[in-house]
Amino acid sequence: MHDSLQTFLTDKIEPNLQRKRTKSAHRQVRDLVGEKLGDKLITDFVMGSYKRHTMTRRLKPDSKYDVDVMFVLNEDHELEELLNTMEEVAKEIVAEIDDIEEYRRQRVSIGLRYKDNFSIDLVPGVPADDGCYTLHDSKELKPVTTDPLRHIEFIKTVNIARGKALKPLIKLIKRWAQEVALEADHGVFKSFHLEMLAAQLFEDREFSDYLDGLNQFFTEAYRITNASEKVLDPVGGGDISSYLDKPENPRRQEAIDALKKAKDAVADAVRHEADDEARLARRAMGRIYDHFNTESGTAAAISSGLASSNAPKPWSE
Amino acid sequence: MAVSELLDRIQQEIADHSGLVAEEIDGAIHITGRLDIGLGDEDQFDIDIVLDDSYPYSMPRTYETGGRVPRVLDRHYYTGDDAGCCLCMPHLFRKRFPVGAPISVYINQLVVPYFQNQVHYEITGSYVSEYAHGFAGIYEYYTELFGVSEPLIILRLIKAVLARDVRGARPCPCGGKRKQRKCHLKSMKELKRYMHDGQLTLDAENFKKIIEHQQDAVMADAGDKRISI
Repeated sequence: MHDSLQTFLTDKIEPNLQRKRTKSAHRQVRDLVGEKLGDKLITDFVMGSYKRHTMTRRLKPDSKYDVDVMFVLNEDHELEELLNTMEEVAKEIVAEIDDIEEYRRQRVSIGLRYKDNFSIDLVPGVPADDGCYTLHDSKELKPVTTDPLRHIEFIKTVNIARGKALKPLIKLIKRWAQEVALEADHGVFKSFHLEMLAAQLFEDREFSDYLDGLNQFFTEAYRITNASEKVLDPVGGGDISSYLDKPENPRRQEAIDALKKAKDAVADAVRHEADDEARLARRAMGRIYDHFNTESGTAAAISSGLASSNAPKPWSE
Repeated sequence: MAVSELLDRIQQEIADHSGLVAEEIDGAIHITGRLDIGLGDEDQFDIDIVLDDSYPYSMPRTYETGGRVPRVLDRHYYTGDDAGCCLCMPHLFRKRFPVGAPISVYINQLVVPYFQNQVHYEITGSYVSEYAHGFAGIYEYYTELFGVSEPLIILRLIKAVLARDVRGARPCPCGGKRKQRKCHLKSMKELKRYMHDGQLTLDAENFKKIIEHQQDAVMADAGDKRISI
């Protein structure tokens, strides 16, 4: 199963993003923003999954990869004003760089959309204590004090400790979350939450291969989510899973159900692999990754056969 | 019926299932082998169906012997002393497999669908359909049978069956204004025919507990007046 997951990663999950091209693009944008903001800009850096090397391929073919660049401003303003500042800059940049189609004002950033398959998100923030920065949570719009650079360092450290297997494992987990979102027709998990949960879990814990890693991750993630335990930001200290309990849009039960399904499927795959039943192991993985699901026709035939014969439903005391 | 005579009969009845053989072990008949569930060579299950010395009055027990079905209740497999496949709830056993029917009826009506459902779970992570565990599933069954979900009405219907008050011309115990024949007669007759009083009494007790619990919860609003159950 490990080899099948490796092939899945290489063929279907690794983003088809040209890093060299993207690097020159964000370098150009950062230089321009620096020129235009002058003294208002304290520092800027690339962050997010692009920088953490945990970005995954988009499931929808027309969607673009977001490269997040944080601009730390020397202003003590609210989000709206920070976005206004960045929007003014973005307008000028669009006029100057032909490769950019347009800019979009988003919830907590300004997106520069390139003709290529990526966009660069200009994320404004302000300095905070202890070398941290205050930026805004994209789902809840509330200020968050953290340090994206230390997240990058944290993931890198754990990845090295785990023989560079953590980042691929995180990509497998994020791909699962993308498929959950596709099925639900809305996002259920925040990628950052899953990434940090995986990194914290495997900070002091080994996994023998990707299947074992997924098995440990889903078992523990299910337990934590079901018990409503907090998942603390390793830098800022806030609960990065609190979005699951947002009163107007609670997602916790949906998250628990999805994690239980994943936990059971991977546990079955582990069991079948131990029995040398590779076909059944792949079938179990097909419950959470469409890539492995080659038997949806068989399932549909069983479903219609059992329904038409009014077959008895199983029941346990 | 002598065991050898019963064994001969069982062997004839399973003739269509070429992967199965019947043999007598310590006074019980075991039907063992690989069961073809109509989904190709790769989706066959190793099974052991045990008919004890009370058969055909006792229900057969079915075991999956290949270890493919996890031994957990969520996968409808009992563990411990009562181990075996949870094919369906006792309320439906006799309807599907009446006393005296050939064992092939049991295999085709209960065992094959159970394993087809297991394959569906293996592929999709869910059963085509299933009852909830425990009394919640029994509640679902009665709701489907009677077409009502109100525990008090279900209890009245069960009690009428226990009291043998199942007659077309009598007013329906559900509390509607129609006679039984135009209301719940068919479903009450089904209970009367396929269910034994012990199970019905147990279910009635459980519905009574639900109603009492509901009454306790609404006592403040309802005053002291309790509904007679």
